[in-house]
Amino acid sequence: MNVLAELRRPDSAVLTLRTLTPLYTGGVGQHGDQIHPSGLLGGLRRFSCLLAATVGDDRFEYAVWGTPTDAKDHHAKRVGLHVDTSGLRKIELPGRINWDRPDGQRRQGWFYNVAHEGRLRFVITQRGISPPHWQLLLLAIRIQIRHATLGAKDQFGLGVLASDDLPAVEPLEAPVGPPLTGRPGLHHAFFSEVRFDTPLPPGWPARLEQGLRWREKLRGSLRQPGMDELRHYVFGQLNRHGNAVNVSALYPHGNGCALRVWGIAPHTTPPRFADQRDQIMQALRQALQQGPEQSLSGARRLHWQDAADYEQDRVNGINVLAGVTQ
Amino acid sequence: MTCFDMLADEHFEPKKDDWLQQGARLRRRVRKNKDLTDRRTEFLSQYALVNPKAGQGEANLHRCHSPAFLPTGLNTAARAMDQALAGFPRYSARLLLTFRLLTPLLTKDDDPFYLFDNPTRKDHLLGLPYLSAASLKGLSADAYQRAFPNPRPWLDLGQDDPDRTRVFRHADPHARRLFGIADDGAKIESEKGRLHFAPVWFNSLQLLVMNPGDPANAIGTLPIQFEAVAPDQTGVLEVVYFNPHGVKDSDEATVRADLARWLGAVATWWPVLGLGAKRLAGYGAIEIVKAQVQALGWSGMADDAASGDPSGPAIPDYVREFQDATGDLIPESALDRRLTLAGEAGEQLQAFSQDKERLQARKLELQQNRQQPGADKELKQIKKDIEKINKQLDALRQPLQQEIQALRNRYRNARTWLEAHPAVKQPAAGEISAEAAPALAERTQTGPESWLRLAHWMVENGDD
Repeated sequence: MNVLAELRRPDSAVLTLRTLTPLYTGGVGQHGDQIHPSGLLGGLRRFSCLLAATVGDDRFEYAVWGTPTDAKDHHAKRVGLHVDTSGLRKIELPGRINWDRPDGQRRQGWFYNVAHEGRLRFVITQRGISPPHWQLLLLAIRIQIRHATLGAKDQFGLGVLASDDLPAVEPLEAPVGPPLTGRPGLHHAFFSEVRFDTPLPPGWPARLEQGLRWREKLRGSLRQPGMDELRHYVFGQLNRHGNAVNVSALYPHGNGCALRVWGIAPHTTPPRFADQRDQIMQALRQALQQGPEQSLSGARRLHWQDAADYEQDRVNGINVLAGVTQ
Repeated sequence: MTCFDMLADEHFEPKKDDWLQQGARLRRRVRKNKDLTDRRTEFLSQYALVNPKAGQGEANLHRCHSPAFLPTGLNTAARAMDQALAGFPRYSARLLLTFRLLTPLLTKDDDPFYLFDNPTRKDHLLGLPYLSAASLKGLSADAYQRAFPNPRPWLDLGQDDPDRTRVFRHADPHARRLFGIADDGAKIESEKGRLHFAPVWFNSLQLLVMNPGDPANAIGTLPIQFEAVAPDQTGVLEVVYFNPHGVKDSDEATVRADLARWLGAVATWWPVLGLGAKRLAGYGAIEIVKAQVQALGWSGMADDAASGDPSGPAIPDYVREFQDATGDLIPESALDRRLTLAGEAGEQLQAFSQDKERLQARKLELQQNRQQPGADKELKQIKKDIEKINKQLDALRQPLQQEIQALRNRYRNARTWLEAHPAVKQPAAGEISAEAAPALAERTQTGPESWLRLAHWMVENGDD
């Protein structure tokens, strides 16, 4: 018998992705001249753990993503990520984008330097991951690519990806248990897309500015007396809070264009402002329906999905988001 | 020179454009953690970025230039095949596997006095980054275990990993020959593996930063710097299979099967799992470029003149090796002619031997004319020189010892076989001589599938 007949090949999922808005993962000089795999892996890890929390799987993160090397029960990740960036090209973004604030206050604006666009390939290889965890991971990846973002500066427009061939996975049949408490989960998420009949504006400065105008509108919706801390928690504050809400730049959609707005609220461990979630969602949805004054002209439609709507049927909600049901 | 040496030397003056030395200079002034953070920031803006503005800018590459890239330096993969395989037994083979780094490669070094916590592993004298031979052996053993798993689950094989590794290799004769058996403190006899790895050398470094998010506020507050081998560099891995020809399982088919399985395993698993530290997070990703095999006496090699040798298979190779033209066993004294070093080492050996002969002749001359003025002093010096040459000769001959032992073992096995088969007198290909030495030939494949194609070629084009 040929001694190579028994050669076992890796069980991998291959994702071929294309950027809808530029991809950025920072770097030692915050310049974006390279794509750093750890930034992408961190995004996949966080999103898959959000899904695991929603289905009540408290072993997922430990089992799939491993432990620090100094942990007593140390084990490595049970998946390996291979990133092929050879199909990406480096692009120069416009530097600073800014305009006068409606309330007249001074603002630094938003800064962009270098990012990447083109095609990207992930190979995610199984290294002892259990079939249920592999299923959860693939479902999470499908939801993330279909509705969310990846990489850094995704709160400011970057990191929307698409794929024509997402990995096939069986629909989820039942949760492991009730949603995990004390940590964020996909059951705290909302996903929305504003679709415009207007053609996509040429050039990134205009597409990024449009996203930032929508972001300003959304942030402004929480600019009310007594809501400063909540607004900073949801939309970030330098060196204090990360963002709960991500607003993309414009990207092509059919004959027109669209932008993506998604988020998790509450988004930290331990959670904050949990009792105000309904109020936050209502304000955001209303702002998305109104849009900023400087929005693209022409007809637009809001596609809104709040995970709270699936509270009674979480499994169906997950399968719908992942696009694995009829 | 390590950072510690640089720190200890009061007169140390770093070169202006030397990343490593400048890092050591900055580290020298550190007395507390706050200083360390400041010095790191200073280093990042001065050396790790191209034209930084307010601490921001494109990552800079630090290029190390080194004599190690000369053929006679540390980069053993650059040696010619006749030099690399000089003196190796029949069917021994050398693989040269070329790959390109797609993402930065992390290879952690132990240098507590380095400016950053995660330095790349570098040669202490030359400052040249490398992926160590020991790491490569470990990574390839991991790939092999995944490619040819034991029927039982890994965790069921033993109590800890060394235990499981021993059980795995005892159960798989290919793995046992390739990697050997380590005792690891267990009361068993260890076995040396036949594969010998060389480090893979690179010459560009860069700094990376990772900033894990704090779940409490969703921002990164503790950036961690990593020194890394920069991507887009080509590395060449040299792996030599030392075949102890004449002992059990040292025929051509066994060697080819062992190497094919090893190559098939790394060709299949390294491109998806990568190399080095944090490989599962996407670092150390590789793209396969080229594979070369150089082998002694292998059949089916494109330029192997002996490939069509129709000699009867009834006589084992290790017997034919010691037969003369009439099929008789050569005298044991003829073995001495085979125990000479070839290539650069051979030339050195010859030069030292000639020097020694010259000195011995002069010594004799002086001993016969001791009345000559200064004779005693010169004799003393000559004795010292001869001792020195003897040490150098010993150092050169030492690597031959294993081969000498293997050769003698094969010879004894051949004698036993011929005594047991007196009727077989088929003439061998030729008397032991330069003509009888196994042909050295090479074969090359290129492209992303080249390693796997070469693995298949090894098992599908042999004599078996």
